Amino acid sequence: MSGTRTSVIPTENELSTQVARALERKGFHITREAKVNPFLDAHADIYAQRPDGPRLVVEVKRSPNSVSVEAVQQVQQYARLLGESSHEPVLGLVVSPGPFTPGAEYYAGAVTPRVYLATREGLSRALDRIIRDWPPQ
Amino acid sequence: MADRSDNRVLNEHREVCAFLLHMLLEAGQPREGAGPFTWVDLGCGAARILHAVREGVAHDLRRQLSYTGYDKADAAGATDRLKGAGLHDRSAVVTGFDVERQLGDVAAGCAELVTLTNVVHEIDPARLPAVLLGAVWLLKPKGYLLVYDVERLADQDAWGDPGKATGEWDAVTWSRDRITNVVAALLQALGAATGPVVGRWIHQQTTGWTAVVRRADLHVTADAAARAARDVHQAVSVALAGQFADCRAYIEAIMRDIEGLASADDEHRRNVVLGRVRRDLPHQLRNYHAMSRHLGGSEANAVAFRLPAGVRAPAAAPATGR
Repeated sequence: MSGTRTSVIPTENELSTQVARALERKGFHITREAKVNPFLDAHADIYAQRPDGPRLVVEVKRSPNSVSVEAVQQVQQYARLLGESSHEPVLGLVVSPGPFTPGAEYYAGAVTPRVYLATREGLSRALDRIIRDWPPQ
Repeated sequence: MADRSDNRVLNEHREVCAFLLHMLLEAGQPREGAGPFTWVDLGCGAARILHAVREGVAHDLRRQLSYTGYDKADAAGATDRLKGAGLHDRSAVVTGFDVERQLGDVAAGCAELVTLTNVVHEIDPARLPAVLLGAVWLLKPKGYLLVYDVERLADQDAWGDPGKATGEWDAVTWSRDRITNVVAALLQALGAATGPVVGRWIHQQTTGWTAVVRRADLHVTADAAARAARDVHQAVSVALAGQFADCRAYIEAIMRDIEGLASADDEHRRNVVLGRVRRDLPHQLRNYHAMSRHLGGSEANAVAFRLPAGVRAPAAAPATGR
């Protein structure tokens, strides 16, 4: 996750851009380039890191349909892979324009490291929580 | 060990192996001297991987091969497959061979390529460190170890034939992120300068992972071997406990989604949840059952899995017989 200093703002859709802007407002540096493991690069929308530590893999859902547990599991696994490849913890964040299923919400909080879920409206609060909770237990 | 039918949908692991083999042969690596390119295929089943070799590796390259497959089960049709691939002159399939316990019977440093394709899920996790280390031991100084497996079994593997007890009920399928830690522990203990890159394969019915270990990257000494045995065991223990916890959380999550359907009027959500129930829940339950057995849920295991100090043992599911 380290290595590049150029912010890359996703432009695929409006929510991706909104997420990227919100991350930057919270002091995150954004890059698409996962320098640690090239296999991971295709699987997350945004990689973001704050200078004081918090590192994130962010998945931005496009569809307003419910987000299921499988999507949360994928982000969790990539966050763990990336974290353990770099020997530094990495958290997962899923942002969706639609709701999360009860199972997705349960799973996100039950696994280690936990995955943060945010709707468009709750994004700022979720980022505050990530910063507050860092480093993950 | 790996396959029971020519008509199975999941043939991709053979193609993965044939692809790597072709690349190695074409590049002239890691062959040493003028002898044949020696390939040891552990858990070869009925050597059906040779179908992919016949189709995916050029004839003039195949002529350089010396293939030896090892498996506990009877390798029906293996001789024909060896002939079909043009390998019968200096190749063989050894049956009655227990990969988990007899790797020491194979000459160390004998192979340019050692493969474990679609086998790891069948290995008792307590034996996995010894199998991985044993496989490394078989490599020549420039040899390669290719390990491929699926993250979840195809349905016919998981449940077996209707009416017959052929399902792989004790099989623990490893997720790519968990197995990465195990391979990382192996590489680190054996002095590799770089960590593992475990690739992911997305198949029609499932997903798989591939780990490649280059013997030339390792510094194998007696001390390193002892350290690796300990560290890989620790890594397997942690990975198994972690994967078990994830699996339990996943099952609980699906149950909550099912409960939530009663009040859901979202048709898409209903379809997603029901699709997940059909597709994922059986796999998760089977893996939960298998992991709980290996974590000490049953005295039926020949080798009880011992968690190292500091690793919390999850509650075990009730054990049922195979």
